Amino acid sequence: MTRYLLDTDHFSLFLGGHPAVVARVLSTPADEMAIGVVTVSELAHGWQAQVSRHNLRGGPALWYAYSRLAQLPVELAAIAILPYAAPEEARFIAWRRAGVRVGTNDLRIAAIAASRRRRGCHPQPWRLRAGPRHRVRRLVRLTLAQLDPARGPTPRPG
Amino acid sequence: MTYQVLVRGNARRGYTARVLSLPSVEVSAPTEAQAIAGARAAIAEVVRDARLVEVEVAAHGWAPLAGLYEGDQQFAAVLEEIQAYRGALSSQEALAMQADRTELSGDDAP
Repeated sequence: MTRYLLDTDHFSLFLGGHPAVVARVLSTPADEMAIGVVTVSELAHGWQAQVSRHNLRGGPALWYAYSRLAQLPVELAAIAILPYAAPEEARFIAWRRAGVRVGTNDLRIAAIAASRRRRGCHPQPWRLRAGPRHRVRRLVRLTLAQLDPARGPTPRPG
Repeated sequence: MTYQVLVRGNARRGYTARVLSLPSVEVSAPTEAQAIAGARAAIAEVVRDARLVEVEVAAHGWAPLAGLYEGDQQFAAVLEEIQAYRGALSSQEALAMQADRTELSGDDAP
């Protein structure tokens, strides 16, 4: 059962070898963790942007970006990827109508997490004791608040 | 069962026989044949009341991804691009929502 949904920031830190995040992930059962398809989309977009950036000049940077883009689906095949579809979209729209002001993709990831919770799972966003980025901590707090209002500040109405 | 035994030495100093798969087993003797025979006897002693079992340890499914992009300069550029993409997407959504509100308020106007 999925209990932890890593957002793109945390998953990127894991891919980048951040010691605390790597230790935490590898000490958690693999079948309890997932990423959202939004994160896959963002990573693919990032590598595609590298292809576009080096496309005219060509050379090793382009070859490398192409190889990473090609490898991405292979590398992610071993981990669970949660969908973004009608139930997640409904939650996203409901939050927007309620005035929740969070970045588009951050809110989509939160919708994926909340959608799983409604189906009997309980995603628990992580709180790093020494988070490397204030923005990450803020997102995690906001996501927590949206999943369980008793645990965090109420999102500010727009 | 066959064991690999590393035999070293010469006639003047004597010989040692070390069983590679059993690091604790090492036998010294004046001749190579005696060292090998000693190693054979030592192996028999070690495995007499023992049995070999195979233990499989499942690898963590996420392990191959840990640090996959560590030290990758292009990945740093990828992360910057993702941040810029998020910012642009959020701005576009905010503008679209504003346009919707404007349209709705225009519809409501007498």
